[in-house]
Amino acid sequence: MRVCLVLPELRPSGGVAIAVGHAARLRAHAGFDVDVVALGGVGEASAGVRVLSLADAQRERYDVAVATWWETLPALLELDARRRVAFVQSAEERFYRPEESFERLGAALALTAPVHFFVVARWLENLVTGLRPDARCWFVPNGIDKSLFEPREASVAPGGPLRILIEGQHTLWFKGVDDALDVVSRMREPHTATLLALDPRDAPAQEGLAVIGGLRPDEMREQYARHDLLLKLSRVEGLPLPLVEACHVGVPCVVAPFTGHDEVIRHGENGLVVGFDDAGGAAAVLDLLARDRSLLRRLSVGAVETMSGWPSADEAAAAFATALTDVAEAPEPRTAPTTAAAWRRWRAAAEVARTERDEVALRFREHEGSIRWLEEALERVIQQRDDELEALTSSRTYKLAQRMQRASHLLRR
Amino acid sequence: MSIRVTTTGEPRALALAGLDGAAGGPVVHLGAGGERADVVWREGTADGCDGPRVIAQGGAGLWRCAPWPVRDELFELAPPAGRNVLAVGDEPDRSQVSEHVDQLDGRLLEADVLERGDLEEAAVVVFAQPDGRPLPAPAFAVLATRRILVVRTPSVSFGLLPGIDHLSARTAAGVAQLAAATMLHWDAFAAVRAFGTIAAQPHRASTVYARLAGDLKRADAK
Repeated sequence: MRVCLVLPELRPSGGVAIAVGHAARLRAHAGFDVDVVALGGVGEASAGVRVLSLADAQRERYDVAVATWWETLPALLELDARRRVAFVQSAEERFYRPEESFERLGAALALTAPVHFFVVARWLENLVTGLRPDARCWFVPNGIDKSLFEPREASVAPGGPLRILIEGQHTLWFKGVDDALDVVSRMREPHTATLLALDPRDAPAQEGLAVIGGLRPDEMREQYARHDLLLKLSRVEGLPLPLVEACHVGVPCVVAPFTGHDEVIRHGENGLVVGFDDAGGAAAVLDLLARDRSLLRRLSVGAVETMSGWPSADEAAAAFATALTDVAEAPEPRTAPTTAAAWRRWRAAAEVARTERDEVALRFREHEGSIRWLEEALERVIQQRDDELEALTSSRTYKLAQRMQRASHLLRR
Repeated sequence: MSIRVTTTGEPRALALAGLDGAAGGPVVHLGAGGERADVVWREGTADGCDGPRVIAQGGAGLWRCAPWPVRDELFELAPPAGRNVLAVGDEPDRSQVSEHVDQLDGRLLEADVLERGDLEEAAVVVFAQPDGRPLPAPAFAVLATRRILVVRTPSVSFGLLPGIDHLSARTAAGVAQLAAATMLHWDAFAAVRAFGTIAAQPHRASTVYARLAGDLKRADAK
C-alpha cells in the first residue's frame, strides 16, 4: 500500500514526532511504502523515512494520504490519493485565542474536510464522531518506546526538597507554564523546579528555576528519573505524551483536568488532579506531596502499574497500519455534508466575530465619549481662566496698581 | 464502588450539584449554611473561616477554588424541546440582558438563580451577572446538558475557552446578541455544544466527589 504523510515541518514537536514515528515503523511493516511530505521544507526525519517535496508527491499516486495539523489539509486534498485522512492529535481551534479568529476558523474547518479521521484520544473520537457522523473515525493510540522509558530504580528520594519538573512550551499560552510557576511560587515546603520546554529560549526568569530543552528522548527519560513529580497545568491538550512517559518511568503527575488527562492519570493512583485557576489549592497539594513521601512513593509505584497496559510504539504502529488498511476500503465521505458543516462553522464564527466587533465599536465610542468629555472640560477650564483673567485685568484695582507701578518706574529714573 | 461523601444543602443546589447514592463519609454542604459540615461549597465568592473547609469560585483563604460539580444524571438530560433562552441573575442585571434579546423563535424565561426545572426548559442559558466576576457556580451544569452557556466575561473561567465551549461578551447587549444568534442558527453552534459537554466531563459529580473524598482523607492523615 502506498501511503503519504503530510506534515507541517520536520522540526521535532509532539505531533510531528508521532507521525514520523508511525512512518518509520510502517516502512518496516511488509506491504507499506511510505512517503513523508514536510511543507516547511525537506529535512532530516527518522532513518528509513523518505521525505519528498509537495511538488514531487503531487506526481505520485497513493492509496491513502494522511495529514496532521490543520494547515496541511489543502496539500492533502491536492494529492492524488484514493482515500484521505486527517490524523487528529488535538482539537486545534482551541490553540488560538478569540482575537485570532481567522486561525481559529481555519483550524475548525479541518474537522469539516471531506476526509476520514484517525484520532489519538477517546475524547477526540467522541468529538469527531459527534460532529461528523458522515465520516469514519479510527482510534489510533499513541504508543511509547517501552525499552527507553523503563521504570527508574530509586523511585522517590526519602527526604530533601521536592523535585518538581514542569513540562510545557512557555511561549504557548495554552501550556499553562505561567500557572505552574505561580503554583510553585506559592509552595511553603522546600522544593526545586525545572522547566522542560521544547525550545528553552525566552523562558521566564524565576528565582531558582532551572530551564532545559531541546532534549532527545533518552535525555527526557533521564530528566523524568531525576524528579519526584511532573507538574502539567495545560489548558488544552490532545493526548499528553509527557504524562505517559513520566508514568512509565515511575514519576507521578500533578495535572489540571485538561482534555486527555483522564486517559492517563487516575487520581490517587498515579497522580493527583488539581483544579483550573486554583493556584492556592494546587500549591497545597504539592506541599502535601513534599511532606508525605509515602504518598509520593505509592503514586510512583502506581504510575508504573497503571502503564502496564499502555501500547508500545510497535503496537500503536500496528493499529495505525490496520486503520490504513480499513480506510483504504471505506467509502469516500460525501462532499455535501462536509460543505454544509463548513458553512455552519463559518456562520458560528461570523456571529461571534460580529458581537466582538460591536463590542469593540462600543468600547471605541465609550472612549471617544470620554475624550470628548475631557476636551469639553478642558475648554471650560480654559474659558473660565480667561474670563477670570479678563475680569482681573479690567478691574479698577488692577488698573490703579498698573498706574502705580508705572509711576514708581518714573520716580526711580 | 460507592463514594463515601454525603452532600447536603438546598434542594435546588443538590439537584444541580449533589451526588447520587451518597454513602456516609465526610459531609459536603452546597450553598449557604452548613457550618457543621466538613466542607462547604459556596455559590459565588466567599472567604475561608475557622470552621469547615471552604470551596467557592473566588475569595480569600479558600481550601479550594472551584465551580460546583454537575450531578451525574444531568449529563443524560433530554435535549431542549424548544428554543427558549433563560436569563439568570439579579435585577437589574437580568433586565439589561432581556431587553436586548430579540429575534427569538422561542420564549425568554427569567430566573434569579438557575434551577433544574428551568434548565430543562431552556436551550440557551445566559448568566446576566456583570463582567469581571468569577464564572457562576452552576455554569458547568448548563454545558453538561448540551445547552449553550452565555456569560458576561468572567474574571475566572475554570478552564473554559470563550467562543469554543461557551460564548461570552463584555456587555449585556453582547450576551443578548450571542443568545439570539444561537437561537437563529442553532445547528451552527453544534461544535460549541459538543466542546461544552467535553469541558463539563471533569466536573461530573461522581468524579469530583471521589477526588474530594481522597483529598480529605490524605489531608487529614498528614
